[in-house]
Amino acid sequence: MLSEKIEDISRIVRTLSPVAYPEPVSPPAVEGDLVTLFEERLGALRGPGDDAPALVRVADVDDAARCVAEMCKDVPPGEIVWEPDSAELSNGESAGHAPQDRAMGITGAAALIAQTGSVILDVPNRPAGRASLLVDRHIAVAGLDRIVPDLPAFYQRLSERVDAGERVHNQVCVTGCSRTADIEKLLVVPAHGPRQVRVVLCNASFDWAAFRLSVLAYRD
Amino acid sequence: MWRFERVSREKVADVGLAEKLHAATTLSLDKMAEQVADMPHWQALRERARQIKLHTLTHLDRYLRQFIEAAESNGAAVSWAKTGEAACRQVVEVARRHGVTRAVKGKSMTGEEIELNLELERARIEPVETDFGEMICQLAGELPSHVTAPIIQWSIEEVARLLKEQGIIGDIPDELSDAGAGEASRSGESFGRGTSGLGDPSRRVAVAARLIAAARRALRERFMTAGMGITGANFAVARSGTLVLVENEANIRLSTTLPKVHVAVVGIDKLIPTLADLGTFLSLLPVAATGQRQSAYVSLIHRPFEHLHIILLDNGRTQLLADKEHYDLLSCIRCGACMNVCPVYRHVSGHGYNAVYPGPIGAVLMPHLRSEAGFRQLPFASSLCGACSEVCPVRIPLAQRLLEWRERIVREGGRPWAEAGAFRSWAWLMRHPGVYRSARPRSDWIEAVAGLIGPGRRWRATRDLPVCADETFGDWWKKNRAIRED
Repeated sequence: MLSEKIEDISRIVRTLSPVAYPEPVSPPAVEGDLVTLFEERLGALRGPGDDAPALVRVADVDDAARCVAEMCKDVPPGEIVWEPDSAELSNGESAGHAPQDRAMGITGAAALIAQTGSVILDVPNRPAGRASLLVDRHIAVAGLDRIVPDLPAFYQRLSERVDAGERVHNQVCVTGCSRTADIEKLLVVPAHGPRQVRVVLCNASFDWAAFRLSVLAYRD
Repeated sequence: MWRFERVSREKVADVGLAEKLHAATTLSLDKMAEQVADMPHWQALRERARQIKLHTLTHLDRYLRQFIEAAESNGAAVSWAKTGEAACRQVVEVARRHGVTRAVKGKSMTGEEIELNLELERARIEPVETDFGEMICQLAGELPSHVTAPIIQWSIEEVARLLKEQGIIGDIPDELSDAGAGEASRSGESFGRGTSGLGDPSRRVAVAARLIAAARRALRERFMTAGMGITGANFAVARSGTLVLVENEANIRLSTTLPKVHVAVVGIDKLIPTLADLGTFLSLLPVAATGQRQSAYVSLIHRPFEHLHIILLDNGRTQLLADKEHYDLLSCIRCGACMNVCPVYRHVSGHGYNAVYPGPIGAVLMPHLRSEAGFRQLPFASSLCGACSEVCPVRIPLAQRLLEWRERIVREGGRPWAEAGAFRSWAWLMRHPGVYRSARPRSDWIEAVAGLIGPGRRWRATRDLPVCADETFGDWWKKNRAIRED
């Protein structure tokens, strides 16, 4: 059935003059310090009335843990959703929380995009998305090495990884909070997802497992 | 038969409608202009996007093969739907196979195009639109009026009233009921002004936030209990078999990750070659659609979370592909910018077109996708000002296509008899100079006669004739140039 349809399309396509794939267009180079730009763009995405800094810079994993523990000090443990680690993921659905809204989600980040203030999250399975979706506030924690100038650069690299045969995860590019302007173009936050997105950026290299343990230790 | 002329007259008479459309579309265009001002490579990007789309379309067989192979090897099921009915049938089959009785839907224009909700209801599967605008459309039983702003012509008062009728909010917020909003007519209300005690924009935002919060609560329960999520796709990446979904609300993320089964109805025009091409299209789409540098969520679904069924929708697209002059209409990315700039759209709204794709793109696309005669009026629903061609982020020459449609329809005999007759007489007269000179009417006669009868009278009812000179060009020529040449 499918191949028959494509044969039909082949016949049609042969009657069209083929158009060549175009040369790339370079976006203007992203100037200045990428972290500063990321901070500015992420900050501009905060919802109305959200005045706290959107980006917090910390020295190392321990600092990051202390910072995140402080950010969720008033949040009961049951109200925190962690991005599942690989062991939890291999257990699949059973490791996931029952899908309901929680106060706070904590995730890593596959990349941070300076030019748009975006956070790229890997979503390897259904429960993995919840920490950035079924929560009121979302904190993403990552090392400095995750910063990429802009989305074209990021998707170019991703495309090359796929071409090289890498099995990449499903992914979501998060740019600010969940929002809608469906009613009279009035900006309303949140829509279906989080009200707030925060990024904790670690100057040193970042290790998720160590970070998570430290956060739990600081909370005790 | 449905007549654009009649409907547009009603819509144009509705000043409140024009005010709302003007306010909303101007805001979108201003935000877009702000972003474009920050993108010195905007024009080059538009051209590149057009070339990528035309390249993909002129090699569509190859890219379809690639996409199907990649998606299947990633674990998705892929099927082909020649028509909208076939696509609906396939969605219902998948639902039945998984015992689904409720499906949550992410905003999808292909879903609207194939009238999926009707078919699901017939099969006793409850479709739940989860984009706020689409939810309102579903509850009100109307078509979205804009591809990216479904309820563009609804006031906040109207939304509140509908949500109360549906039991989603208990009471109309005080700020709204103060001014007796309950009595105001849908179209008569003014937009964003003080008629309902809501003149202060921050109070309007606060009320909108309460309505959205109530709708979110109502929908959340549906998300948790739905067996299936149905979406379209903004792009389908051939090389990697990836579906790309762009949104702001997160309802598409919920629809694709909460239910176990995900069905995506994807037009075959959505293909792009590689993930790298997203760099181009994701730089254009959010800017043109909503004036955002980037939309809140861009989901890349390479492989199923659990069950993923991709339905490739033809529904007239291969026929359009065979149209050498018009196949570039398949490069549309459904941003809605051409609607925002269109002086006709801005007066009649999406509902004025009686078509799932309204505005300039709808006017050229609908007659290709659907054979009903009504859609052949749409290419005439334009002033040919060309603003749509200028704004289109993938550089579709929309005004040119509108004009070509008119030529085609005229050639097929779709011209009114009076107009055809007038041009035939004129052509005959021009070929017979002797008769023309002796029969040449004086300008004041034309002015007197043109407004008296038939089509001329209708024409004159809304237009003034240009003032004619006392002397004809022929007489002038005889007096001046003819002598000098001697």
